[in-house]
Amino acid sequence: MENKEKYDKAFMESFGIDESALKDLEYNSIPEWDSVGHMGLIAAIEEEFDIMMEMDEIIDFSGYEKGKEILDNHDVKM
Amino acid sequence: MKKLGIYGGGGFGKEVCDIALRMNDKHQVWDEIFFVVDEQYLGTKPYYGRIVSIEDVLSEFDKEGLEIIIAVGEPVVRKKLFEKVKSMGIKFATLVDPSCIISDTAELGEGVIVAPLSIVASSVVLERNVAINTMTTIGHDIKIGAHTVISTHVTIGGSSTIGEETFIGLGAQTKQELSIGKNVIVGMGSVVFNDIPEKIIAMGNPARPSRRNDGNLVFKSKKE
Repeated sequence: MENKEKYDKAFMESFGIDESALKDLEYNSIPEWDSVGHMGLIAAIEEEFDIMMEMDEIIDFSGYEKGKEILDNHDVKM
Repeated sequence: MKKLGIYGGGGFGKEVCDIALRMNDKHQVWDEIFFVVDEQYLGTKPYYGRIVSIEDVLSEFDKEGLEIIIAVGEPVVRKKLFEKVKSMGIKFATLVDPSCIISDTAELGEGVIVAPLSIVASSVVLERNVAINTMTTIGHDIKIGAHTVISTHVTIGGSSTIGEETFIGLGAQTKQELSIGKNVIVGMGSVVFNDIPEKIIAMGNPARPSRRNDGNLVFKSKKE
């Protein structure tokens, strides 16, 4: 599976949403992405890419697009 | 004989009222226990006794014989109500359920609540308006900052510091010698192994910072 597919899957499975909802998705923009949902998403992404995010990265992870920039620092290219 | 006003008529207000009644059963402290609310809640049926608006409290009661306890579980609101009552020149009660074990060397500030079956160990400092909920253990040499709320079934390991206006959720456990900052929310069931900086929401086992605590509110309205 391509990185982009893995990344999208983490969002869709964590929040139970369709691919069409991903673009421009931001923290707190849907009820599922609250502080608890956020930890589920981070855990799913870390497992999918076998990485460990730092505290600042977890906190800065404010949206679907921003997350791609953060993963780029872990050599996860999309 | 003094009178006790319980400021807050919600679920925690009921629990606080029961603590006051149990204290009175053991050794009478107050000859009247009543509820204090903000004006818009005046129509609600009180759990016990009568219900008085905060605006009318000083005309209804003699300030000298009056004590107030803040009975809400949201740290930011605890602080707001505490400061309001303080500015009115009213004294605060300190409520400790008779079933608690409190070390003689623990210091409890004004307005502190310790709910049933909790333990507060040696040399603990609970600053003003801290609320410790049911069956919670506060280990030795812990300092807990003003207005902070520790929920039910929490264990705080010894020699730790917890900042002001922080909320520790149901059943959380924190390792000894930790520093948890002010305006922090620790999610329920979390197991905290590392320090948590100020203004952070942290959760999980092991607990990790999730978001910045910008809104400061623990309990979101169900209407939202």
